[in-house]
Amino acid sequence: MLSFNKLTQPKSLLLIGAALIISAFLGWYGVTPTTNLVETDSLSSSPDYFITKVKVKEFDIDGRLIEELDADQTLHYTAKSKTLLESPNMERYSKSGHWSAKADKGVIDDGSNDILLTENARATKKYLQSEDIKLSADNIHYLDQNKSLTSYGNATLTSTQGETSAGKITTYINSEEVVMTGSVRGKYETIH
Amino acid sequence: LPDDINKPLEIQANEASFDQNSGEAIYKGNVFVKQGSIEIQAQYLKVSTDPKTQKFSSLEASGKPAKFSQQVDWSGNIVISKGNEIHYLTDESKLEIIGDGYLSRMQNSITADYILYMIEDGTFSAEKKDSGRVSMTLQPQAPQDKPASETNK
Repeated sequence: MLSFNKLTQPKSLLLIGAALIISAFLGWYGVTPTTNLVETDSLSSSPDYFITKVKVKEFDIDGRLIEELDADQTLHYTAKSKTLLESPNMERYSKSGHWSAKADKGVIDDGSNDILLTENARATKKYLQSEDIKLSADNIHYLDQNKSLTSYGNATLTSTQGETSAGKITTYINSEEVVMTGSVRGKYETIH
Repeated sequence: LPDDINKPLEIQANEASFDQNSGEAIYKGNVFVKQGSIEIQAQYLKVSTDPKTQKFSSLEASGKPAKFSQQVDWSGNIVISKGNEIHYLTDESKLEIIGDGYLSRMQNSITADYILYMIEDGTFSAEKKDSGRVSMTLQPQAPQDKPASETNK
């Protein structure tokens, strides 16, 4: 029998403490469920593929160039069915003129031709018959269905007449019409 | 004021549409225009731009009523006018007030179907259109004060 005195000596106490810790650890390790090496959340939020130095050109049935898209990098996320673009820069050509747009970031939903440009977005529309107009906003959304560019968030339109800001500014690729809603503020120069 | 017409034009409204080809911009809803001391309030405003120079040349406002005001001298006198429509031609410095027109300048005032106000020289003329009448109120010229030396004789 180990006498009580021996058990209370420092060396024995140390051994007993270590044994307790090891058994506690083994017990905890046995109970916790097995987990992946990588956290599950970060698995679903990381891209399934990415491409760098992207250059895309689209032609119509007659072989005419209708769209160009460049980006430093595109990242595709299966879980969100989205592609994120870094420094997207795009050009679209049509009979009545063409427009170009760029931003710090862009988003394309899978299967969609729409593009949302965000963060420091700006676009320039060049017409065959009349002067260019420039758009700048926090977001510029190209909707393929009605071929429109909708700017919102600090949206400003600059034309030769002057500068107009509004809550939302919509321009159309194949027409020279611009529609502005939400506290429109215009500043024009006059003729003299 | 004399240099009002050289000042840029600032426009506020609830919504607007703008056609780059024709150079026309339409503003709707609580429209407020400011150019130097000139102010216009209306519900609808069409801004026309000269397609060649791309500078804007005229403005047609309508409302219930549309209003126009401008300071005419440095001592703060202003001209006030209102009517169903106000056409302001900036390149000719001309103001046309159409339909239930009213204009008052200093103590003189005029009501008519149509009033033409020449901004630079401050003159105005009026016409009656259909059954309306022209009515004008002109304040008599205040007697000139005699020089102080004569009054003490």
